[in-house]
Amino acid sequence: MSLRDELFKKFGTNFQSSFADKGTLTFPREYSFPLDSEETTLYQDFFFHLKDEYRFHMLIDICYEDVLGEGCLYYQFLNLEVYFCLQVTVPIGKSRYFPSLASLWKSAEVLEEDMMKHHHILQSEGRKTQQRVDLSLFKNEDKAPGIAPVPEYKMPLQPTESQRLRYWKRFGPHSSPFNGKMRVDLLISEEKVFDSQLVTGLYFRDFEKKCLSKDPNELIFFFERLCIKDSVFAPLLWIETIEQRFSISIPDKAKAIRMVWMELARVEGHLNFLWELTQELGFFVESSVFAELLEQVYHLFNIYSGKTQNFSLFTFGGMKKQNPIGWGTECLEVAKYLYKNIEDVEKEFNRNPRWMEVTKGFSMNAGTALDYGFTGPNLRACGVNFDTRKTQPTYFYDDVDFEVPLGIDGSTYDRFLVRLEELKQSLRIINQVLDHLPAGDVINKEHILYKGLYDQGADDLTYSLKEGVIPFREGSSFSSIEATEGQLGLFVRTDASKLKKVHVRSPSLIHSGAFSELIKGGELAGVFTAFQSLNLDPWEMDR
Amino acid sequence: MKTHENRLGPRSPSWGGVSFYSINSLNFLERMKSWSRAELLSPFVLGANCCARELYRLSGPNPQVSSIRENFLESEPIESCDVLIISGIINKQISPYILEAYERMLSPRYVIAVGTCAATGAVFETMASDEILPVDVYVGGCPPTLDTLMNGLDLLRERIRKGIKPRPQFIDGVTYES
Ligand code: SF4
Repeated sequence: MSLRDELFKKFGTNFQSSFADKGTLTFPREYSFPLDSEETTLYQDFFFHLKDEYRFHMLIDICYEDVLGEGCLYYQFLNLEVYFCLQVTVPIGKSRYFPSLASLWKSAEVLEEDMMKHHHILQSEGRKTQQRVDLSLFKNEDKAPGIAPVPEYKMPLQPTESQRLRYWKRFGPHSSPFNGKMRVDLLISEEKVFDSQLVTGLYFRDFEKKCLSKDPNELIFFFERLCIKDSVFAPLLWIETIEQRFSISIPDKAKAIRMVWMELARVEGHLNFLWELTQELGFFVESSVFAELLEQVYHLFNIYSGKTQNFSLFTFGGMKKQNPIGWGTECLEVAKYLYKNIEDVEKEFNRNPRWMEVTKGFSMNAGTALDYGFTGPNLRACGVNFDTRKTQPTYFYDDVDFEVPLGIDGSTYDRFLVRLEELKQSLRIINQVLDHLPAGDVINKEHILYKGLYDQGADDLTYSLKEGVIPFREGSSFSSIEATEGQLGLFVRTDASKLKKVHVRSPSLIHSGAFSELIKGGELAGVFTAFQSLNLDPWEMDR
Repeated sequence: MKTHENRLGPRSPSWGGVSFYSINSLNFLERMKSWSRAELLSPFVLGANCCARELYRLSGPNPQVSSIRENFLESEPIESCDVLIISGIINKQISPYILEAYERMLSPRYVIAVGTCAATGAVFETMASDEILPVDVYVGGCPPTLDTLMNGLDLLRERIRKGIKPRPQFIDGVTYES
């Protein structure tokens, strides 16, 4: 019996599923209880049941929505064995409290905290309370808020020798080694690290809320500015979501070109990572090689769009324009050049004992990584074979030939190696796609949005989408895409005419949850390398 | 809702006390000083965002940017820098850190706001950088191209060479030299 049937049998009409790999479950009434009470065991029992019996080992996202004072929680679970994504909807009514799931899934901790930051709701265990992050510009008479102080170390009554020497120290955000990235407070003693605390929210710009006041076309540009490392996956995810809603099919050539762009973005992201890591560790010869390769990729971007990021290339139903003449050939040449150079650099790294020395340690086993909700190269470095390009292929991913590189123990070295290998695989994909590039148009001129645009003029499209002349289908959906650093997810709920809720699942946010455990007991110098190797993107994390 | 007038004083062509075309009014020593200052500047880049990615290309191997490297020196600790390059959004949480970085820098210190986010706050409707700091040069674009960035840096050098002092801070009606 498939998992879907099992869920049907158990939950009856509460469970709905129209796709083979997706389903939604409304929280059954018999488990509900007064949510603001301290009694949470029943709630947790239900979720334990899901994890234990139906093998939903990953909690990938939590989202909260407030509709006229009635709150609702959406949990997204993933079963890796058969790849099934389950959305559990829990209406919590007027209560401002909800029970924590951090004892079942470790990823819940960071997700819940993020949610509380944005919505000012509390957990019923009274474990943590979080003030809402305030975006309001400070007025003339207000002074800027001060810098949060470094926490104080509370020494136990009978401290050991090591405990006596411990103290908290602040690193960053504007000093080396977290140059401009984020502020990290570390508890150190004799060059060893015992605890850590990430100070997030520095780049908070209320992205999700501002999405609601934009129209779908504007949102493409808005989503391009979601991540630092690439500006391809986020807008594509938004476009795919809308295309699914309106059942817009796109021509073969547009599919192929989108694939090339996705892989180029991955190449760019990984090269960026390698450049930063080698720069950080003082391998300046290698880092200059990566910087040069990066310039090659930027050159390709420049020919196509005149920019190196935020390209505004994609649109609903395909691409905005045909690729320039000769771009494909240039792309193939650059891919060949990159492949050769990367192989050379790889040989350097394989023979270099100093490189092995500085990148050793800070490993994570597969079970913990899954518990923390890791995805992308960070998860594959731990040895878990999970890549949605293989399991849920979109576009032509099942026609091309590529491998999913895996690490062994998820150490810093593995995280580096997996990315290096993935880079080469991406170049392989680009080669194959460009060799068999289909002919034809790059945009589907028959679809409803396009017709709206050209029959009535551009302003009318905005109007019709906003006023519901072209109706949104009512309901919620969660979709994701295999971005450079893991699964970038997007939760969207619409009513008949308007966007009601947009929520982004940021892979960096989830990876940051494991940082504290990853570095415990490590050497101070190695901690910075480990931090770099997780490749967190604060711009995307804080949203 | 903008508060230029209150925090920065009225805008006038002679912020630093020296008007833009007054190089001839400087004596030899002053000219020597501003020339030497303009010949070697050490910028410090703030922010982890899309604009910063473009900024890091300035120290890269692109032949286009080689002219920049003669006059701009990369230096690591912020205490030895005199040009602050702000990019990315500015909100309530990050502004104290920016002010902290600004205060730790060498004096006289110059500020460049790079990108629409930092210059006007327009992309995500956040604060503009001149609400917290006096800004000397604004570079527009989302993100600015390499050429625009280099023009911005050149403009700053030009201003310094002509003896224009950095814009002073106005806090609570009192002027502070930067
Ligand atoms: S101005 Fe544009 S490119 Fe620069 S940081 Fe802001 S959103 Fe990113």
